[in-house]
Amino acid sequence: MALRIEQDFKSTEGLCGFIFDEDLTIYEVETLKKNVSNELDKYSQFEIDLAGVEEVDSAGIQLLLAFKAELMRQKKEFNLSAMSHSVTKLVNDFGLSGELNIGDSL
Amino acid sequence: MSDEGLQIFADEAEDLLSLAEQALLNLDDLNNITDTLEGIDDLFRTFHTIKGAAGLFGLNTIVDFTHIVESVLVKIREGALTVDDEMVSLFLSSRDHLEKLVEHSLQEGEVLDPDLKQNDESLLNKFSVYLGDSSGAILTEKNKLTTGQLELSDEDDDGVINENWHISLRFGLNTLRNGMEPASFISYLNNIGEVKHVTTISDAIPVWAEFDSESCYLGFELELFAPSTNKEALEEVFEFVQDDCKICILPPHSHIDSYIKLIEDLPEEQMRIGDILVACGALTTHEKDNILSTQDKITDQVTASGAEQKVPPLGKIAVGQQVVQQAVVDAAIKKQSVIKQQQGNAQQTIRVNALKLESLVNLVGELVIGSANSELNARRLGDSDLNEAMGNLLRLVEEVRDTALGLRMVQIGETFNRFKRVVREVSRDTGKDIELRISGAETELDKTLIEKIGDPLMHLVRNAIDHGIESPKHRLAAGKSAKGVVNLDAFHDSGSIVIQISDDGGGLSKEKIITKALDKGLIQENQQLSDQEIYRLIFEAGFSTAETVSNISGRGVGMDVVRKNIESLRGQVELKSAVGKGSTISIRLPLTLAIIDGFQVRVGDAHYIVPLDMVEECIELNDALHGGDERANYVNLRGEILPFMHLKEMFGMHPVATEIVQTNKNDECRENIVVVRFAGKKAGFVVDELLGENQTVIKPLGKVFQNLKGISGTTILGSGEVAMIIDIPEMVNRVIDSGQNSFIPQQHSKNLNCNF
Repeated sequence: MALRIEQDFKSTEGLCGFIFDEDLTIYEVETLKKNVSNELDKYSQFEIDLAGVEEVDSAGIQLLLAFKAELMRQKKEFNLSAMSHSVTKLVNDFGLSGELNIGDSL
Repeated sequence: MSDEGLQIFADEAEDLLSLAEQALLNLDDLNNITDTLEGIDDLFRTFHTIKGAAGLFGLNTIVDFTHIVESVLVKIREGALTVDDEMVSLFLSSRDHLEKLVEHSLQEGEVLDPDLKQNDESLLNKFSVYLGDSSGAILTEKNKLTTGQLELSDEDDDGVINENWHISLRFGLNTLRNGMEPASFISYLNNIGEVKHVTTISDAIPVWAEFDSESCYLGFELELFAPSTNKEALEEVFEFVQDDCKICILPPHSHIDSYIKLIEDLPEEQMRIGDILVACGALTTHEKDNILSTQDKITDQVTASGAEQKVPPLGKIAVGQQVVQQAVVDAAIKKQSVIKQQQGNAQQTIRVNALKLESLVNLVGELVIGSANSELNARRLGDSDLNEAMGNLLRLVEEVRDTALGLRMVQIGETFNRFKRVVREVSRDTGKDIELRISGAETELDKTLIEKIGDPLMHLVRNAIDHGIESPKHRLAAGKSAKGVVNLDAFHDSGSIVIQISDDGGGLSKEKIITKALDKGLIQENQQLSDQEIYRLIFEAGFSTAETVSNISGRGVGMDVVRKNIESLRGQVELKSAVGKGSTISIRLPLTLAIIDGFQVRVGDAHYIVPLDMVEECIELNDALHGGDERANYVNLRGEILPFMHLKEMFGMHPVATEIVQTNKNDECRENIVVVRFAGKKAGFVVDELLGENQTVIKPLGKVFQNLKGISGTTILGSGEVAMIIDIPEMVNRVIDSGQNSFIPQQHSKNLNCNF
């Protein structure tokens, strides 16, 4: 699957790393959501790495937005560490560069 | 819509439908919930993609039909329905129906012929049972699909400062599921004008627990700078989402009332919308404040005027319903191919005219001959640099050759997978429990060959199920497991492709075959027949061993037709059987290649080519081998009898006996035996000289020589000479036949292992 989950990511205790690669599209989002949900309650810090994402579509972006909003609601930490070219492009097309940006954190 | 676009749609639908079929057939164990749901997901995806594409082409029948099927699938995914066998069958028949609809859409367009329509309705009725409503529910659903919510605002002189078009989009929940991609709308708008600003509205995304990742909660506020466009053109962009999306298009310098109405209409909180519009540059802060402060006062008026301004959604669109902008279609088609790639199954493919391929292969053939000629000359010149360069070139030519020939090759797996369904249906009809095991699915075969072998294979598989595998009761009584197994296997074997169909059923009773053959007058009493000959009787015309004729096989049009079909492909079919254990049918087909690796030999003054795949080894013919008997037509090859033949004799060049005596004395010209193998049989040919490997471009024989035995074609050598290609299957049989007819000394046959 297109998601690798790493505990204590980058040797930071309690940090959950989500490394997405391959595709982040309507075909994957449902599974990805499930996988993400499994970790949601276990951690208070999340770091998202989108450097390996090849294809992304609205559903993928929407998933990121929903995840970010949820963390905000739960007052948890969200950090976007890297984006691939395709993600950056779509984020810019959607005028979301303020919402989803590298180094962006809550 | 352009025929080309429609053709692409049909081709893709075909691929998708075969995926759907596979998904359905994988649903064999309905108790395994995870697997089943996965299959249902796959199914949903394929139906869904077809629906999206059909929508683009305005194929309403397909859209409506797939929509209902999808609704049932959604219920299954939600857990409101459980899949049962009957439902799988229903999905299978709806898949078939869809296939017909797609075909139909290619030929005659929208109007259904009565049969198809009746089928459509009956399937829809069956589905409606699952949806828990009468067909009325379906109708309302259909209506819901077609009532739009497009809202238009009229241009006004007394407008805001904004010189851009303002477009508000709130996509419907099902947008993504319907195969639409909001991002492609935005990029398409960039073709019409320039999107100056996009604000994505994600307010509608619910909390994580309620968030359905496949629903679309997104909205957009867009500023489009496109002075030369008009409203119709923009509305057209959104034609396919207008039904379930909220779309509002405000022209440049729209009247402030339009914005008031917009703000009111949008689901988000008014202050927030106001801010967004300012952020977009749609309104100045001043305008926004104006709107919000005066809003209360004018609300009533606006509602009234708004109602007046409401234009019938579709009436104003000058362009016909079914017409789509080419670019949108292109984008959608592109998206489709991406989807196809994602489905992981099909590699990315392009469709090429077969004639182009053919001419490519012909050119490569000429290239091979040309390079052989160059090599010969290079070698004669003896220039080391030139020879090295030539070596590189030859290696490349060989690669080009292999690639070009590989272009026509297709894996047989797809054909095999088709039989899964047959097995499923037939085993249901006959009440047998049968498993189909497939191996060697990646074996490659020429496409035309695959197409032609499909029917005979189908017949053999049906035969195996119907006659081969016994009923569960009989199987248990015979001490076998109740589940019968049919194996389909394909592999390469010395220059040919072998496809095997085997079953672990009852096998063939030789006595029965003989009795039947006597009955039909195919053989005579007391005739001595080998096992192989007995089994071959099965393939005679009008022969059927089944005592009861079922509707699956056994109607007499059977094995003889199969054999004829296979022989017309220059193939052979062979049957092996053991009573109580099962039967195996092997089909052997030639690799139809235009260029092969050949082994060049010299006989007398002439050059001959033996296909390299069939060459086992080359040995020197000396006294030790044939035990001093120069007239022998067999040798003892490491304890096996190897019958051989002098090619010279066969092609009538010289009297052999004297020749051998002469050549044996002459050390410079020793004779060699080329040992070849075909279909498990070995034979040797005596030749004068071994010349080594050669890339052989097969040229067919002219009409005059078509009935020539022993020669399958010709080729042109680098030197420009013509060489004959030896027809190994024919020659091997000839050598063995002549060996059988001649006398073999007793003591030899006792001591040797006979392996043919």
